[in-house]
Amino acid sequence: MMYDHQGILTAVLQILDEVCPERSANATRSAQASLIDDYYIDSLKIAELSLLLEETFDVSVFIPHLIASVSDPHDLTVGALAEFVRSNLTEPT
Amino acid sequence: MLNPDLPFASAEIEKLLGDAACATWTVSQDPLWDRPLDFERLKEVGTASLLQDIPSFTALSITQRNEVIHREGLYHLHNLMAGEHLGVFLAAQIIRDCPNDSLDCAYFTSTILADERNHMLALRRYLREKVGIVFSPNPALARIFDELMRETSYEVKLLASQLCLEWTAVSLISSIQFKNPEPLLRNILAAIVRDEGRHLRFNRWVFAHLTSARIAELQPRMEEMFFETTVAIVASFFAIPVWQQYGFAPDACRDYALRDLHARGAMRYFTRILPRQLKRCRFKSDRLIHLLETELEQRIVDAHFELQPTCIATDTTGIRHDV
Repeated sequence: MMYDHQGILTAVLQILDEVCPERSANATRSAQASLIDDYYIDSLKIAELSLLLEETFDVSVFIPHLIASVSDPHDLTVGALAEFVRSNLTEPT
Repeated sequence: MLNPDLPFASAEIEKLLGDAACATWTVSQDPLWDRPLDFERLKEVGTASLLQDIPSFTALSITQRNEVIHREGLYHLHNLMAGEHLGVFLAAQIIRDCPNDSLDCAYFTSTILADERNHMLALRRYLREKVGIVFSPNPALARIFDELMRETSYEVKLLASQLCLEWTAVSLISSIQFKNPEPLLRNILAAIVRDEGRHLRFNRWVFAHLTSARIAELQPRMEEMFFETTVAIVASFFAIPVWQQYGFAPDACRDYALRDLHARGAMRYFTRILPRQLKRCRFKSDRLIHLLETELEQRIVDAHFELQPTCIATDTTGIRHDV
């Protein structure tokens, strides 16, 4: 199945709803939402989210790699995660 | 055997190998090694102990509680270091046992060996030189490591060590990167995670290219080792040597820690979510899920009582204590 940018973001938001049902009261369900501060993502959720994204997109989505790539993980947003998925989908093999 | 014309069967693995060769390991040159650790910042970990509800823990001052959590984190880093150490030896066995009709498996596994060596040495230096506290790894992990070294199938070794143990460990410790403000540890973990991303892609390639007959042949052993490895992972969350240091009652530790694992969703994760990793590698197993749902908790309790860990604690003055 082919995904465009919006399709990836929509799927990522749906998976986040499943993995992180409790969100910050101030969180907006958008690309700008913070994974740590709004979705309260923790270690177990990182592992589960990685797996669900892999199952959905049938591509390796190793979220710890995304976390390791930024200087301040609190800056990680839903949009950055969607972009990470997109880059993995389009990476030449 | 000595055939310099051996090809790569996969362009993807050839590229991954090239990526590994270009990925310079710079952790040992990090200037932060030359600066003293800020132990007060190190203890501002922001995580919660599995014993957060036990009365003898809640009775401690905030400073003491942070000290317990800090030591639990160090204990988990020692378990990670032990896994990296085992990874070196398992990789050597995999290179010896894997197919040698192409370069892919043996050559890529040689990068895993080198990566695990780098990880182990960096963690060892950090824990001994910078932190000055040394724990023995959890006995349940030591037991599964021994079993993996005796395993005859290189595929089972690869899946249990890389996918079950390492993938889980790295996913779980990745939160340390945003919860622990100590920059040197963060840099070490970030470098480890970057390498593990490559290992994961290699594992997926190996299992995508096994024949269906081989998958069927390996299935019972894979289920058994995946289950035993999961038992060891969850048992290793029980930081018994740390809890002993603070005099917490063993029975209460077991009960509260198990309750906390349920409350955090960890038991659900290990019984329902982690087996799906196996399925992603073409090993779909209702039997494994049944085993995990019915026997995991009891096996963790057994591990808690059967294995009395030995612990060596060395404080920053270099004094070693048998605990």
